[in-house]
Amino acid sequence: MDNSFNLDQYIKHHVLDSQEWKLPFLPTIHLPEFLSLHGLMLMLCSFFLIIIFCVLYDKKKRVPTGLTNVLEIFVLFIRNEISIANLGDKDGRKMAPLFCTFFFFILGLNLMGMIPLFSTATANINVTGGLALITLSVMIFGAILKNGPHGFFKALKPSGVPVPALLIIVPVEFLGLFIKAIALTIRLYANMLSGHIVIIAMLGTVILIGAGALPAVGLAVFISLLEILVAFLQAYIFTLLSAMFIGQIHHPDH
Amino acid sequence: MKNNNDSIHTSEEQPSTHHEKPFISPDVGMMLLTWVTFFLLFAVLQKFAWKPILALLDSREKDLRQSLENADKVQKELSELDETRKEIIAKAESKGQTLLDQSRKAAVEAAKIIERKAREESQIMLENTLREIKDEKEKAQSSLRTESAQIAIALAGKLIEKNLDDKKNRDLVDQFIQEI
Repeated sequence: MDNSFNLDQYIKHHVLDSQEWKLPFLPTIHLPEFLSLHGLMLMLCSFFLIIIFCVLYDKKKRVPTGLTNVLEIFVLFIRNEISIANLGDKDGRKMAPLFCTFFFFILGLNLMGMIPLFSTATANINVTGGLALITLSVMIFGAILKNGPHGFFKALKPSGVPVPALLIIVPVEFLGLFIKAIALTIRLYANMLSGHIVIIAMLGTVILIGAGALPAVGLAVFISLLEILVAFLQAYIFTLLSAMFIGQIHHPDH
Repeated sequence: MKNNNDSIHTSEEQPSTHHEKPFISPDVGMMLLTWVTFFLLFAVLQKFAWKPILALLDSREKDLRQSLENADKVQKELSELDETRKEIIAKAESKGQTLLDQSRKAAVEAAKIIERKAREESQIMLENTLREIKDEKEKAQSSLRTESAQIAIALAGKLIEKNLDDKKNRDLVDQFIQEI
């Protein structure tokens, strides 16, 4: 048993952003000031996604197979069940690339967190906040561009409500836009962070207590499997809710 | 949190460069980096992935819809063709039956005509034969008559030579000649 071992520090060290990238069997890479570990993960994820979609995805095949087939299922699902379902056929098709990018970017970041070599950038509130801010921008500026400033404010005003009630409802609806974005931020951040904290805590107990805590490794494996599900689920939820929120403000009639 | 910090500082494993951070620490730089990465990724993927992929999906959907419509059309045409085929076969069968009936009737008629002609010919032949027989008979009778007259004359000559005086014989010869 290592008396100097600090579980709290151990967890923080694994889940929080840092300026170091620790690679197995290799010396630790010290990152420059402007680039943290999570920032590097964002870039690596983008790089992987570009490789996957621009190189490995076979766009010439008439009948997709293998990886192309798997990716196509996701792309089709996002376009049909998320984008078109919430924004209508015309806007849905137009906005599908944005939601595809959202989904695969978040999924990539989530799944990279499951690989020991990498870190979970979505367990950083600044990353999830940045992503939610993109949704918020599309909600507000997209709606203003589409329906005009008047149309945007009209979307905040439910029809058939007496004027005095509007004095409360409109500010609440306006605040609601930001609350929705904050909810998106917290949901993804908390889900990704908590899963990793649990896994690291389980593994940390083995270091802390010793062989007696070995069954915790089994639990950690189980939680890891659950985390893979959560990685997909949270990417889906973030994309779906973004589409719903954007759809609501872009098409207030529906 | 303070206790934790204390414990961290006392930990021997900590690298000296490690920055102690709370779980939630707003960092505009990180947020900006997220935006920049996201929009760059979006721009690259939009140009090289989403546009061709979504266009491919659209064209495939269109192809599929068209193929299904074509398949329906072909099916319909096939069933129409099948009906036409059945109609043609039925017509051909009825026409064949008519032709068969007609030819059978014609054959029966032709057989009747042939039979009648044969009968007529045989009748003519029979009549000719009978006439020939009759002629031959008459010819034979006439030649017999001539022959017998000659014989009678010869016989009579002989008798005359021997019994010319005999009145009875003369009568007999006369009677004989008469009978001939």
